[in-house]
Amino acid sequence: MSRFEFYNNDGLRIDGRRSNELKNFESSITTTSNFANFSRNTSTNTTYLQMGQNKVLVTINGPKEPTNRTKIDSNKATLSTNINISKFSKVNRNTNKSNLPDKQTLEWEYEITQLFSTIVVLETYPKSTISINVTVLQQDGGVLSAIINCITIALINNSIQIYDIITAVSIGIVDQKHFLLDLNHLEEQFLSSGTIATVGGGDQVSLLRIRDKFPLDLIEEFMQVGLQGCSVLKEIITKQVKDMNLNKLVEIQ
Amino acid sequence: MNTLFSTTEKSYFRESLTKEKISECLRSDGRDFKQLRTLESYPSFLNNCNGSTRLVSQDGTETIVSCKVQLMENDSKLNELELLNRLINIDLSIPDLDNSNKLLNQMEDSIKNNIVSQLQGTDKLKVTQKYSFQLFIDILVINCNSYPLGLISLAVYSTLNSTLFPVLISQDDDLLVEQVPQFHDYDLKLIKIPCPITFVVAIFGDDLLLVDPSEEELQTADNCLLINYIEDKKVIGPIRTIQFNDEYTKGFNPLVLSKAFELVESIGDEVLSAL
Repeated sequence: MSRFEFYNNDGLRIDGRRSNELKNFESSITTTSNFANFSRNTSTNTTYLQMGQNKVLVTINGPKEPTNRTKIDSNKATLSTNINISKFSKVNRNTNKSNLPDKQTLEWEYEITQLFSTIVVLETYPKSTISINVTVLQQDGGVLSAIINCITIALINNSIQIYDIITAVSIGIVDQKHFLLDLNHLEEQFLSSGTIATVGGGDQVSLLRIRDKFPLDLIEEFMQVGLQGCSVLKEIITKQVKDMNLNKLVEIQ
Repeated sequence: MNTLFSTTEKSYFRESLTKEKISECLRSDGRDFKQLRTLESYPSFLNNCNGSTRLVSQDGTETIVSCKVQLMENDSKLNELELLNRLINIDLSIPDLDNSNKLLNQMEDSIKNNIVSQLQGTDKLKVTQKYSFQLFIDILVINCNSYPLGLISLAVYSTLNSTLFPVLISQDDDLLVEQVPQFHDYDLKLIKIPCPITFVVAIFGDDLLLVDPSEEELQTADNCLLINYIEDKKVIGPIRTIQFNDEYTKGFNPLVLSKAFELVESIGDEVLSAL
């Protein structure tokens, strides 16, 4: 048993949330081309998501012509993901000298590319590439879910056609009976946990990732809690994207 | 940083900046000659760092600077300069450029030397006789569209001015008594580390000087100057030239240099007060 009481008798967690309460979710967009820069197409949008203490920045390049001719697919666009976890993102600075990504990041990159290849309407953009650049500035628990949510918002902000919104959320299990939604870093460290991503907030699970030892008889309830969290998150994202783009519209006019 | 312009485009940019009358010259983005690009600044936005800044420039370049403080035991064999070089650690990364890029190293060195030269002779980083604070300054540039040193130096300045250090509660003289310094649990204090900011000034002909040039101006300029400025109307060394194109690069009239200093001195304080 760990020395922390993750879920007390009053139904409160370490940070004072209820078991099914999500972290503070706040997204914003920085549009910088507020004048016609005729020489270059710098309509760069940076989408910034703050999910609890996770801080993620996503920029999307494209759809554009690929620099490498071998990457051209004449039927649809190719998607590539690049995740950069900054050295200062944790409390203790990562002293690794090289800037090469570690194995987990590479795995995430692959998974996210696979996930979004099915969601983006790639057939609309033949012979082009869409590259997603993710920068993680600060990590709390559930970074993967924050990255996925931020990419979804960024795709919408960049007007790239998608079939539906993908939302992701992390879930942990306490004492084999309580399910905690949207973990913070302490909970993630000590509990068996997993991440669920669903399409459109419905009951279609598109990504499931479970770490550590996991009691399989609990998986049904685990999925239920996750799906519920995802559908709530979908509503939040839809609302925030609408508000954001209304603000953008007001700024342009 | 990797935009390619055609010869026609370049000559168009060049022509609009090399008119006979200076009043007829126009910058491609409509700025005044001594006007910097619009900045958005978000100071102290990472809460697990001692200091941090996010600066977004008008052209889309985003700079994120974080500063972390660690305790380091002094090596008594080192002299002051060597020690300072070890105390200040700069790590600059631009996702589009690889780690061994020369431009990256030049910018990293320039920022480091600026800070080290200002700290020489002061004991701002000293904790006790045996221990010092070690600074890890990580710089991240996203969406880089032009030479970012000017923007980076502004972000570093703003970060170092808001970096909070832990407060020592044990004795500061530990030469005779062996002890590890102890810090207050949560109290932090501000130590202002002097840091010059760098202005990039592009030279066109004998008269025209442009502050904070955009990529198209860098590609058509005669020459560029990197001028360091510190508070109280002082231009300080090192001052160097840098070129970004082969086509138009040529020498410049030395009288331009003093003009450039005047220009930087006239705008420097305004820029610093804005941060």
